[in-house]
Amino acid sequence: MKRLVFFLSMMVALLTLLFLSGCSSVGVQVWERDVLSKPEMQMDRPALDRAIDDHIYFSKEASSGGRGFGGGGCGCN
Amino acid sequence: MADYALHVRVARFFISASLILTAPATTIQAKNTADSISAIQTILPDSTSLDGKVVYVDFWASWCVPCRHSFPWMQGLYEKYHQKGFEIVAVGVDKDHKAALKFLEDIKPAFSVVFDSTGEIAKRYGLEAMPTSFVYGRDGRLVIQNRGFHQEEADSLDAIIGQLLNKGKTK
Repeated sequence: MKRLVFFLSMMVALLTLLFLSGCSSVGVQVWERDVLSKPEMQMDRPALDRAIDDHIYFSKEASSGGRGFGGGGCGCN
Repeated sequence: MADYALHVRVARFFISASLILTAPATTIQAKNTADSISAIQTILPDSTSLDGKVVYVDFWASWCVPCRHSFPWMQGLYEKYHQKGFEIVAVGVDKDHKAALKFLEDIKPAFSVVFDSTGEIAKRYGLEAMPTSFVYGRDGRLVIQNRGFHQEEADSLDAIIGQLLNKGKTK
């Protein structure tokens, strides 16, 4: 029983460490965005598709915007 | 007793592991390399001296659209001020060297171009946007840092460089 408690507490400690270390790398640096800058990496679909989707979100959920976060792009300017 | 020793050993392991795993997040950045021109001088060919010159250091990449717009402007700036003691050092951060060379083939810049495919120099300069440029005075000290490329800012940079060049004579 004592060993089991010890093992479990070590597992919790290990998981905590893994969560903490998750913050040690904060994403792609600006000079590394060559692949992300390619057109096929953009999350935006064709304009018509996007407009139709936006209309659905606006009319059914009263929400709009929120695009342009994350995903592709060269992060320039 | 044996359990206690094991506990101590395991605790030591976790403390070491936590220090190693979280090190990149907690590393305190050394004095900013960008503050002085000396760092860029070390990566240039020996024939290029920046002593006593006003220097414009520009970080660019072939995949960066504003960089493509900035090159003709830099070329014009170089032609306008080079005789007065002005140098441009363009640092290409492309991993794909062929893409960088193709970019340069299209533009054919007259100023110095160096390559930083590993991003080592970019990291030391702490870049936060592409392109990023640094203007150094004749004393080698950083005068202004500019993120991105916008025409209105380019005009004011032109004026600042002109003023810096008028402050002293070419060595």
